[in-house]
Amino acid sequence: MNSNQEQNKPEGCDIINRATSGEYKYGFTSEIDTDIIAAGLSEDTVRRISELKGEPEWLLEFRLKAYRYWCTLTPPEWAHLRIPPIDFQAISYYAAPRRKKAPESLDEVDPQLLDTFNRLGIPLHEQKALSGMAVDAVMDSVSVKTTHRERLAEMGIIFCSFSEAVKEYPELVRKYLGKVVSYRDNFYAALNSAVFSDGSFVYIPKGVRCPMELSTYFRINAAGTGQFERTLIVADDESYVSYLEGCTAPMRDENQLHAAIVEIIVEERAEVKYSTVQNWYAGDAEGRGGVYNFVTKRGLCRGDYSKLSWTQVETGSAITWKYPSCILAGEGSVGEFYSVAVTNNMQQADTGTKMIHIGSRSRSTIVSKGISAGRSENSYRGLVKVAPGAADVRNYTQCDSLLLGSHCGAHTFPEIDVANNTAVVEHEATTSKISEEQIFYCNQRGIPTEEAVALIVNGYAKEVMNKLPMEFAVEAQKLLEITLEGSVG
Amino acid sequence: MKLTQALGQYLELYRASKCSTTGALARLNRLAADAMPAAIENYKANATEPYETRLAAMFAPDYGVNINRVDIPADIAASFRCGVPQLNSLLVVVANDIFHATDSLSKNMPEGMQVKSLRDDLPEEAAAYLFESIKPAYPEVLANSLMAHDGVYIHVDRGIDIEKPVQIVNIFSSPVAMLTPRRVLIVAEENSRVRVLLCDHTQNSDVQHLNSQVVQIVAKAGAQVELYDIEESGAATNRVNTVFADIHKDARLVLNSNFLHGGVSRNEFIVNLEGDGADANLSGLGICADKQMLDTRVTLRHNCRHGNSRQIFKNALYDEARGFFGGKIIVEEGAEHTDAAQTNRNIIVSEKARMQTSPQLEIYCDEVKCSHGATTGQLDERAMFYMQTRGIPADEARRMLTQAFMADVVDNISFEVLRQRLHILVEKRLSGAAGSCETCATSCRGAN
Repeated sequence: MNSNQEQNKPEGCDIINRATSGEYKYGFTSEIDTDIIAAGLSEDTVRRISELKGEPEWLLEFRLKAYRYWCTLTPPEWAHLRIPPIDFQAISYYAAPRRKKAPESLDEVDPQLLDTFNRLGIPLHEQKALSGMAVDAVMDSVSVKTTHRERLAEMGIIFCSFSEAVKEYPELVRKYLGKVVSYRDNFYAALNSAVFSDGSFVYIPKGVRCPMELSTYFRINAAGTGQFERTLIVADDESYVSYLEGCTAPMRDENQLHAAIVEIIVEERAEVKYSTVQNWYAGDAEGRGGVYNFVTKRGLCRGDYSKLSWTQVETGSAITWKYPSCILAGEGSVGEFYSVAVTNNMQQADTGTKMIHIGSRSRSTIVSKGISAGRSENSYRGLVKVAPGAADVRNYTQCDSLLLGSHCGAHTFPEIDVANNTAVVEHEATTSKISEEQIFYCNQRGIPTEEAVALIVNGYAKEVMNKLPMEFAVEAQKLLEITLEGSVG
Repeated sequence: MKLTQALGQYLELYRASKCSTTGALARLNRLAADAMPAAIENYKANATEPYETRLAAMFAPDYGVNINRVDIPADIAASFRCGVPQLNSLLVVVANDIFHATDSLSKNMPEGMQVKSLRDDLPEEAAAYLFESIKPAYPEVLANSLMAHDGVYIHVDRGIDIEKPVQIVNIFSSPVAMLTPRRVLIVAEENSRVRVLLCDHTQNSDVQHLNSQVVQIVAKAGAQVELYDIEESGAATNRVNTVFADIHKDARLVLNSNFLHGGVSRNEFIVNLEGDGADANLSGLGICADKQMLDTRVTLRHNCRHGNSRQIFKNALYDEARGFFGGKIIVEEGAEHTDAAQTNRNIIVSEKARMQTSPQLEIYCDEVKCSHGATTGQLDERAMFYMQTRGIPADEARRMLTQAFMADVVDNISFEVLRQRLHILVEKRLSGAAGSCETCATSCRGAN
């Protein structure tokens, strides 16, 4: 291509070029003092974490039980993933930004930390004023700054870091912790239960509609630290909350392990909407580095007519192992799962959902869009289970895969288990590539191939993108384009 | 019981007894015995498959094996009641696992075709195909190979079109619990065509029986092989059936499997599309009642360009019946212009019936068109209502709608006589006739 043509290219293409040639945009390390426990995992490590965080006895017992159980387990191998062996003794299980006292205003927050957020495009000041969101910014493991607390507190809403919740609302935490995801659930859930560092706790009281979108930015920061987040959301009767989780991580050469747990409890007629944009470092084009994202996310629709909706846009991580699920125990409860998973280069993703119908007249919808490019592997794995006593259950599942390139893989592994004769369960899956005609049509109208691909992919994912809250939708769309750059030959 | 014990008992039996086979079968037995320990060691059952159809459970009972080749008398005429009366076929009867050629076979054998026992002298090529079935991933095939003492070998010469179908009638007859290893090898040379119909019948329906069957199909370039299978055995007869098919350039496979009556039936179809333009059409229906169980697994591998495959499997589950469908389409790297579609539809009729479905796609190539669909539900309430308003009683309406539901599997059968007969068999089965074949015994005998 000569320089003349290059200049004539529309502006949009420039962004793509910059990003294609550029390194991971969010790859930098802030130099903030951190308290790190020496690498390794033993009962002493667990005790030390608990001690550092000043936890009550019952929580230490919970961690120890989980640790002892974890010792009896081996990592799961059933996923369609090639996971290099992980040395769990080489990981440091605790890193906390050091601070002398709790900051009372934004001015007291470490300026370098604020700078980190600014470079991420999340200016805390502006966000507070402009978006009206409450941001509980999680830097590594300890919550540094929480805004809008007062406004929420007036309505009786609790939105704080997990460690704060343990101190201030121990009864609530004790009542709900581990009730949806038991420490015996799986290998990574047991690991998280033993060493979880911090996370968010949300409680919406009866009849309250949360006036703003609750948001937490997770960010892995210290070198060689695993991050073990724990999120617990409780929506009491007839309440509503929309929760956003967004992630970016700095560039690393060695792999980082992230094993989080998200537990959600939805009571009668309550509704929880949980949205995620995940863009952790995916490793370079050769598959070096990148985050291992092994997450257990599950919600229990305990009350009748409760509703839980998961929306996720997964573009990052070297390996993703994640199945946000709904246990639909309440009568007429509703579960939804909308997902876009994009993999490029050497990324691997095995993601999907489980819809467990226990309550009569419960309904669920699954829409999963997988996009694979480069040499990546992208799998949808799902389960729809209808218990014998659940009458008139309805499920609709659609999972589509789009292949961009001849060296990538797109797989679908759904399980449907129906033990009731009144259930109607449908599953549909298609796999295809972008058709030559579509590209040709765009080219004809002066849209270069790479942009055309971005356009078509965005259209393909629109059904899911539309479910995202406004703030996320824009970011997610950009992410989608950036992730796929360089994938069109 | 662990798989080591379940299959190990047969390995011990093999080692303890003096081998009665010679030639290719003896070698097959030996190869299987050698491969078995490692295969058992490395075997991992799929975590989601039902307990009842796991290999460890299916092979667990202490079945007898007819190692000494005692010819247990089977009253062929009395027990064989063919479900397809007008069929003018080349008939082979396999009583337990012993090959019996019939008059209709020896008198009418067309030119360019061989149908004989695997105990006869086999060409080297055929023996090599038998040995190819020794794959560590399939311990059930190893168990069969270990004990295989007989079987059916069908060979069609190049360019020969066999109009008459070959009908293999499997009859089980034994006073004691027994495992019967059955084998079928079908080799169709270039541009030939052959149709094979397999039926399962039980004479002593109260005796526990395991039918271990391995069918191998080789369709060379441009050949067409059709295999139809009707299972109408007793409730105590379980089946572990594995079908391997290699389809070469521009060859075509039609595989149709119908479960009308039986015990626990596990059927695995492993189809490889090896040559460009290869085509596979798989279909099956299951009508399961009481505590019957039908487990269907498909692994369809597209390893060629311009491959085409269609699958349709339908089940209706009554009483406490259970169904499992595990379908996998694999599209290998470089298998461009693949067109693959899979459909699995199920009706659950009673409260205690259960259906598990796992349709899977594994795709490593971008120039493909692949889809699968699975549904589990009931008959359309509105259709039921419509029929009732026209004076059709609910039971009758339900039967008619279920029959219509099954119709697209049956209509898919190009084999005219069989299609018509299956329509009737399905109708009979749906109206509650347990062994529908028995009722047509009289019309059958005349035909043979």
